Amino acid sequence: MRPVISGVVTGPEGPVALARVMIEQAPAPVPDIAALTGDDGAFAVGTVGPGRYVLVVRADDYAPARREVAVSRRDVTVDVRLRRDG
Amino acid sequence: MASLKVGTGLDAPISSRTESAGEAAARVAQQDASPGKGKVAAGLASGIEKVQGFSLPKSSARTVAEELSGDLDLPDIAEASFGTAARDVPRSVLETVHGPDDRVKITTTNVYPWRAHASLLITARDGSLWIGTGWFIGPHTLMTAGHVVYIKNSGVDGRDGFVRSIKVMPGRNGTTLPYGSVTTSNLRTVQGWATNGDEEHDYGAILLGTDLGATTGWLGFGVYDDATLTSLVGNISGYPGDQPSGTQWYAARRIASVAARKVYYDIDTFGGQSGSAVYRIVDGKRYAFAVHAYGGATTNSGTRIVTPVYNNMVAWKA
Repeated sequence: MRPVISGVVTGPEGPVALARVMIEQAPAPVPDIAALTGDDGAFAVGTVGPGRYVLVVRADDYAPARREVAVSRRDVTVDVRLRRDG
Repeated sequence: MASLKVGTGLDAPISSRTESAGEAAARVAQQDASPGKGKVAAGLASGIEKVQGFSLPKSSARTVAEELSGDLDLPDIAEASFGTAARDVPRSVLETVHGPDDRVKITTTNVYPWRAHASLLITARDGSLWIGTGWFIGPHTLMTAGHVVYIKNSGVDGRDGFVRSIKVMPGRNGTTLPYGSVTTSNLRTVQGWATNGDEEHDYGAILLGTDLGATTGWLGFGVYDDATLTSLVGNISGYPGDQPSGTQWYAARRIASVAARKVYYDIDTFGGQSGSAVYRIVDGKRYAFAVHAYGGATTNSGTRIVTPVYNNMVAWKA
């Protein structure tokens, strides 16, 4: 099984639902699809194996966030906190 | 012209429903587009859409030397390693926007061809939500990537398999849905994707219970040889997740290279554009030749429409 990157997206008021979570950089080609967070702000995206990843998180009315993630052979948890736009 | 049959082997179609896709016959290797009902945008003679703010990057202009040499860029080595053991994965860094971001926002999404592209809201088997892109090929059928309709090798319990449903929103522009939405669970892909997870077979279809495509119009599609494809400018319009929610973005660049079942290009895309058409413009008509699916190191890539793919598309749009 390939490792999974999971986490929770939050803002100043708590979990952010329907934030878009995308892999911008990866060690191999990845499907060009985007995950949406659930009501609890949670997401889980598959990987193509160990290596360096850059996650981009976007939600309307929030500033975009980027997180660099080092993935080994195990699942990784990355929580992302968004700031309000402006 | 010889009649054509639906795909077999790894291109054997599979359905989220119990009935078989059946056998279809087609008389040509190119299916025509239809503009549907309403306003139509004019494409430019250079093979790109006429969109304010967009011009073809200079790097997409083919040089005489390139034309004469016939040299093609090779696919990224990472492509060959995709799906192999983790230790074999190269450490190169991959991006889906290459150099300056050329994408422009489409605001007239109720004009053809933009209304033939649909924002997709996907509910996976485990209830997780995803976004992607699809495009009409007939009155009730949209094409998309296989991984949009059937999730494979996710690593998450209960997620893999045909997705639970897809909400189709043609011509979406933010919160505006000019053609409403249709939700369906009537989906198609092929054995090569569902069984093997082979990116060369990463394509699928969404079947609607209505003829909404008769209003939005649809893109044509065709099978083209290597020389034709490598001389083309590819056009992509879709719904990337890095832009304001539900907005449609367009870009075009020259095709970088082709393989037997893949097309490579550096047209800028982002997560959420999986399933978009990669298309050419000929005499004002749009013909898809690939289904966008992956982000890569120096090029992005799509599943090439070859004869077995074409035959399945003809069957799925019937």
